[in-house]
Amino acid sequence: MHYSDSFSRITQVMKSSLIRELVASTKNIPDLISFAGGFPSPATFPYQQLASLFEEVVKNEGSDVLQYGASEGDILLKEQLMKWEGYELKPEEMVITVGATNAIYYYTRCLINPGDVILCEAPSFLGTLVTFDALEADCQSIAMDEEGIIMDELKDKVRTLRQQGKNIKFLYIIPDFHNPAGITYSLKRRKDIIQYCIDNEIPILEDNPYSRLRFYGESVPTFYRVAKTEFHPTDIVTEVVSFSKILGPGLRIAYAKGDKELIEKMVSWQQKVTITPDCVAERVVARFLEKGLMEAHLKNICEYYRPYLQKMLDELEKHMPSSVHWTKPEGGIFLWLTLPENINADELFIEASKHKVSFIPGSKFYPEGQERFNTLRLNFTYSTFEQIEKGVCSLAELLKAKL
Amino acid sequence: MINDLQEILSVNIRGMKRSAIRELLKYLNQPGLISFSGGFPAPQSFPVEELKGIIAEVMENEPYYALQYGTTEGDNLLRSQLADRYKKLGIDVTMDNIIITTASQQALDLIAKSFIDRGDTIIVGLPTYLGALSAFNSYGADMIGIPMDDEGEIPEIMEDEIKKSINRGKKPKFIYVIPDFQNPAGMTMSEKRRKEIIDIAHRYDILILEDSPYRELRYEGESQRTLYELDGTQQVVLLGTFSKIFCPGFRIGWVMGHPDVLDKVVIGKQATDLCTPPFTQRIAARYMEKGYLDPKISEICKMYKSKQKVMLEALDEFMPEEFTWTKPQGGLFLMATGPEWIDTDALLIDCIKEQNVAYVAGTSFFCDGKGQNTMRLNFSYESEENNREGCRRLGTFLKKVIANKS
Ligand SMILES: Cc1ncc(COP(=O)(O)O)c(C=O)c1O
Ligand SMILES: Cc1ncc(COP(=O)(O)O)c(C=O)c1O
Repeated sequence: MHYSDSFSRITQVMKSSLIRELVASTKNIPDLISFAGGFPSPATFPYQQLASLFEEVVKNEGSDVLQYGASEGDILLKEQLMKWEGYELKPEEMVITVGATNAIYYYTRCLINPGDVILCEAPSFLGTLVTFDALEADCQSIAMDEEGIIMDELKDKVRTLRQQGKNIKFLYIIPDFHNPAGITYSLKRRKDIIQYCIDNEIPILEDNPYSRLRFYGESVPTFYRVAKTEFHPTDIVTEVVSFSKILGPGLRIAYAKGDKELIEKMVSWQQKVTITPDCVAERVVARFLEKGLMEAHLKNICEYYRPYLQKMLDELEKHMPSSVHWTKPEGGIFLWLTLPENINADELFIEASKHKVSFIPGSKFYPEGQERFNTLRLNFTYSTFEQIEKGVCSLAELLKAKL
Repeated sequence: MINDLQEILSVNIRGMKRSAIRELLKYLNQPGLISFSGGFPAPQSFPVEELKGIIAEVMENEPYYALQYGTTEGDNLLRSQLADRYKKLGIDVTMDNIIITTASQQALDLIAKSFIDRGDTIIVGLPTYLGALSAFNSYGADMIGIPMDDEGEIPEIMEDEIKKSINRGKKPKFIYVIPDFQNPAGMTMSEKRRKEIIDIAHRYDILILEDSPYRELRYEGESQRTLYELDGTQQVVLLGTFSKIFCPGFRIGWVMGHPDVLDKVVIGKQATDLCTPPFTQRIAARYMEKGYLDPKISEICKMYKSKQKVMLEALDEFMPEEFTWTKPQGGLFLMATGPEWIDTDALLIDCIKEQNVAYVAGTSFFCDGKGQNTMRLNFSYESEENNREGCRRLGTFLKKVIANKS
């Protein structure tokens, strides 16, 4: 039987994540130094603590957590999350999901009909763009500076799209230690965007996997918190927080908080799609928070990552030609390089893999047709100091030769 | 038990008015409620002791693997364990024919996504699993229900409906069947029936989706071969799950089928949740590797067989004679049918209010909105005593309803 005739329309055009293919293409290179990944370092997994929590939870609460759980998520975990967040929040304003990807998927499924517009940043996280694409959204990207998306560009874009009769459904933002761009939104920019979105009735989806990974400086309140505490109405922002980068992605636990009515719809989707997230993992995260292990653990991760960021910044400073620029984040796991206009990072990727260095070409982080080719993303949490030194040096050599 | 309440609600509130839902909620909190509603395994069936040891081992030996992102296709160790298990049953598969999903509900969603465009037709049983109907519905499928006899969907009617659909320019995208201990009706397809349906699928070149969560829970009679095996050409996609034979709190299921189909499911899954937790997958894989699965299944079967026996005897004793019910050879459910005029939907709240016992009204399982005189009863979750007591209460209630009518 020929399946291709039977597949749904969207399935016939659906694309696999390009990053998966890129990473696969370098898989067999021995001694490759890879700055391509987006994985947290396993050294940051609190596995001994998690191990004893898992055993405890199964032993003491097995008949509860091994059973089907609630589609909106474990109430015990929600209670702990409310305490952790430290501000007024009700259980019905939250849903627990199978990672942030899953929350973003449900949010999008609640709001998008084929052809509707999602505003996103240029660049933005590829995994999410793939999700948007799979739901046939029209992603329109907005240029960023060091403080976030540029207000004038946002306004122009909205005006133009609305003149064309397009239905703008929401704005997708990664405000802290942006993946891939490495920037963090200033407080002023956050407020400007919230005000503008309230005035223009554009909901905001805030994706926050990295905000707790701050190694230096003062943290900036999330869009969700700013909206909730300083604006009216307060329900314009839905924030997604993942435990992937702070406890371990293998747990696949994240949560979304937002307007009650919207959350209820996301829960209905969850009921149709997975019934419930993994109940054991939910309870383990709840107990981890309840025992007060999180703060010390976060401090450990930040201390662990900080020297790697510093090392990469130092090496870039030391070796890169002056026409190359990069972000200087105060946390997260990525740096973003901007090369001279005439250098194509897709081509550089191929040359670099011959020199046993790998990264992700920036073009992969833009919606199709809106790419910029002179950018690239570097991850600094998955390599040793020696690898960072050697890898950055080889990249710099390659670039110098091209200039 | 909050979990079960939620299930009662979720399956019963379709089409209910808000006021009725509020009332239902109120009565669901009554102490001493006996629930035959959910599709829940008995908590006593969970392998808590074995799990403790395995979790400790996985965390000791492979924490970095278990806590890191995994591939979307699933843990290779688990995939190959599953493939080996099928091979032992004589089915010719390798790991490449199997991918892992966040339990079978997700597989149903992803298969629906892969095949269904709004307005496409799908062949389903009358009745069939509500979660499947709702997954297909969410992609705008047009469901064609096929009446069933003791052996499953009636092939002549199925063929007829397929022909009609093709004549309307809509070749059905797939035939959805639950051949073993069907949810909710409880029947199992004979080998002959399986072959007839495969035959139809071949004749009209239509995919079969074989959803098989209860297959291993057989309490009597001979096991039937899967449609997947009987077909042998990978025109069948088989869905399996650990929910009823291990524990549903670990959300792990699998899809077995043609690589072209699996490819699409994987791409869809990337956009849905990236991967099923590698941690729980690895625990499941080690659990299988240590040979715990099969002895545990025998234990579960013994437990459920006895629970089912208690329920069947109690139904005999207490139900009004106007009612009949199925006597499945396995699974978690049986389905009771009353006189035509009975409306189980309308009676549910009174039944809970007056007798403190809950069932699922049958209409939820019928894509044509019929079945209002049927109800699904679960026998796996409550204790044997409660199974008996619940049937007594249900019988008392229904006898009163019937007496009042005449
Ligand atoms: C911005 C962003 N959003 C979402 C995700 C996906 O996270 P999760 O593992 O919680 O699905 C990532 C992971 O890299 C990310 O960087
Ligand atoms: C026929 C059928 N398919 C699929 C499922 C979904 O099970 P799970 O997602 O827990 O694997 C169920 C659960 O009751 C079922 O009865």
